[in-house]
Amino acid sequence: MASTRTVLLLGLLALGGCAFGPPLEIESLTGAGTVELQAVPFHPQDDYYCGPASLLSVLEYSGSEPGMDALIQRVYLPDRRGSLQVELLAAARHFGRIAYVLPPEIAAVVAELEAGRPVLVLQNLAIPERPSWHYAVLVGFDADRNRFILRSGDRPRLEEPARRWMRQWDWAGRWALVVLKPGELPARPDRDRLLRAVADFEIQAEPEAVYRAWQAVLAWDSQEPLAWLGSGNSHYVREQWTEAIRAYRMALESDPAYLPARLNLARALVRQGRPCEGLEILSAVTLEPGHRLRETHADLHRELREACGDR
Amino acid sequence: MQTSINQIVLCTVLSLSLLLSMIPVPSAAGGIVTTSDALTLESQDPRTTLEAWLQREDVAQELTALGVSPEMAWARVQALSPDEVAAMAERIAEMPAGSGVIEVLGVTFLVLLILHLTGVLKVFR
Repeated sequence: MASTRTVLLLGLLALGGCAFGPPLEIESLTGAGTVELQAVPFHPQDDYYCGPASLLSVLEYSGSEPGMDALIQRVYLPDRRGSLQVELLAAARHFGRIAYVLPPEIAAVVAELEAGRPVLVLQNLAIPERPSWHYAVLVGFDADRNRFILRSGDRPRLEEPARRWMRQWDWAGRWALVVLKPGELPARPDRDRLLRAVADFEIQAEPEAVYRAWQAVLAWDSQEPLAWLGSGNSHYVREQWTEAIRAYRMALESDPAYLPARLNLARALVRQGRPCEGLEILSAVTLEPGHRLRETHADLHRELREACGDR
Repeated sequence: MQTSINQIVLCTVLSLSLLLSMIPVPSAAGGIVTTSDALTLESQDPRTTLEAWLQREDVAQELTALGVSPEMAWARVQALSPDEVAAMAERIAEMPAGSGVIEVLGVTFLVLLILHLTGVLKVFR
């Protein structure tokens, strides 16, 4: 009995073949019949370099050209014969782009393709218990034939049945990445993911690029305190005290309890030679014991009291 | 004897100053709170500066052990956000490393798929 069932299952699978995967109709997700970003460059992967090869494709399409060797240096792990997701993000940022990880939904991926942006994806070419990890770049879809179009491995144009591709993506945790120029936003911004992506971008980027990135977030939501904080910081590091002070005040206007903006505002006021005003800003709040910024607040308060007292 | 004690003292002082010089100041921009700091403050898992630095050190060593040159390992770690460093320090071994040469095809894949669907492989995990 069991063997009959196995044979039946085998037969069914052979019929369905590699199309095995969750049901998926691209048509239901888009108004566009076919999207194909033909200008996305292709880099055939040598050895185990699908990570750097895929990242290079999306970076070049976005106008950043680090070159293959520099990317390999940044993301390849010789003894793992591959590249880690976090290092792809860090490398994208290192070469001047915001690394935005999409929500794990196929609709978000299709929306990016429709907006004209290629999507770097992680796929599992085997099964969950014995994974075989692979990076590729989605460059489009054909809704009529229910297929995705990819740059993958040594294939400059690979068409994959939607269900089969969906299974490979699903079994790799539905991880998808787009790279954004500072000033660009994803097609459907997800607040937490966007704020995280731009904050992480700030670590290595030029202040001017950071400023542009936060301005785009503010154009999307002018009440976001973190974006005002970031905008203020980009002025602060360029010693533009007046602009920094204005941005920090905007952050406090949206959220008077937002302590990072309060601390930075006080510092900017000191740098502009107004320690007594800074002291006033700090004295307006008292922090509970155990607050994570209590010590920073206390130190700065002491410093400003002395600076103000000297006047 | 005197010389060797002096040498030990000197060596300790030098290593300590080297260590301290490598600890990143919370923000290079004159002590302001960065947006990355601000997000980390809201997260559930606060780390002290020293803990964060030690994690960076761990990850750099891990990368070196995986075949990256020491200078490049340090440069790569500096490019990570605090949360990314923590994630790598905690579970670099389990993180997927995309390499993509082995696509399992045809009959082999069908066998694997059946093993997966029937849950046989889970027994061995």
